[in-house]
Amino acid sequence: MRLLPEKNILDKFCIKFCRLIERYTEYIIVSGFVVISSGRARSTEDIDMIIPNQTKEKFEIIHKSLENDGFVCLQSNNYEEIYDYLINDTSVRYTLKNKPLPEMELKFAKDKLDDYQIKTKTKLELTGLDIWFSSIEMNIAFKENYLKSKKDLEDARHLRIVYEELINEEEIINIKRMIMESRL
Amino acid sequence: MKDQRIASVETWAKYVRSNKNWKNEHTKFINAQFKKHDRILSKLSKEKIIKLYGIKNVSGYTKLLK
Repeated sequence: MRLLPEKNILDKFCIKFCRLIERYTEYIIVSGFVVISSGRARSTEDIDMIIPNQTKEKFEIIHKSLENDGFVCLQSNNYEEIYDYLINDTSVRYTLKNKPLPEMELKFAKDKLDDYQIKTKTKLELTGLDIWFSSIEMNIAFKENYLKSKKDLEDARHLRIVYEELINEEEIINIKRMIMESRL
Repeated sequence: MKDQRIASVETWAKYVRSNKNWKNEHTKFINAQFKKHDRILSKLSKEKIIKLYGIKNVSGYTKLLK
């Protein structure tokens, strides 16, 4: 019998958060953790999650459920205050109670590109994690055309190598065009 | 000449592609960062922790900030 590889601290934290969120809404994990869970040898303190816009009533349920499961929002305990951040396109950060790291940086989808990211979400076998990620093409396009720091370009290179057979170059070009239209 | 950082990223990525045990090594690497972080955190004052993490909701971290 082959033993499953042990999950690391980031994996366990992310799984716990995702299991709770998926009871109420769709979600995607984007950016750094996509690359790290795909084997990139670098660390991070936060994981980025995008969810579709929620009503205040629905968000209250989500927030209270997070609290009941041991999560705390770094910014506030008050769900209305947290909701105000989110609807104004500001992310909020949740951690486990009394543990400032790791943190989940949560935001609402803000435009058509985020909606498209959610629509094209995928699971990545290599990660060994049963969670939804934004597509590899999306992450490469963002890192190569929008974020563009040295770290982001290295992340994109890593993704291009480990997922070489799965990558659809036309889709990357299509997403880069969408980034130009809606973010640049 | 190729940037040395990119060259090392490529070497590691190729290792991940070809070695099924990459995850075990990777897990040790990631966990070590957090263990180190916990050790440092235990030495910081309440004020420094609040400032460092931008904690506005102090009531969520009462044990940590004792």
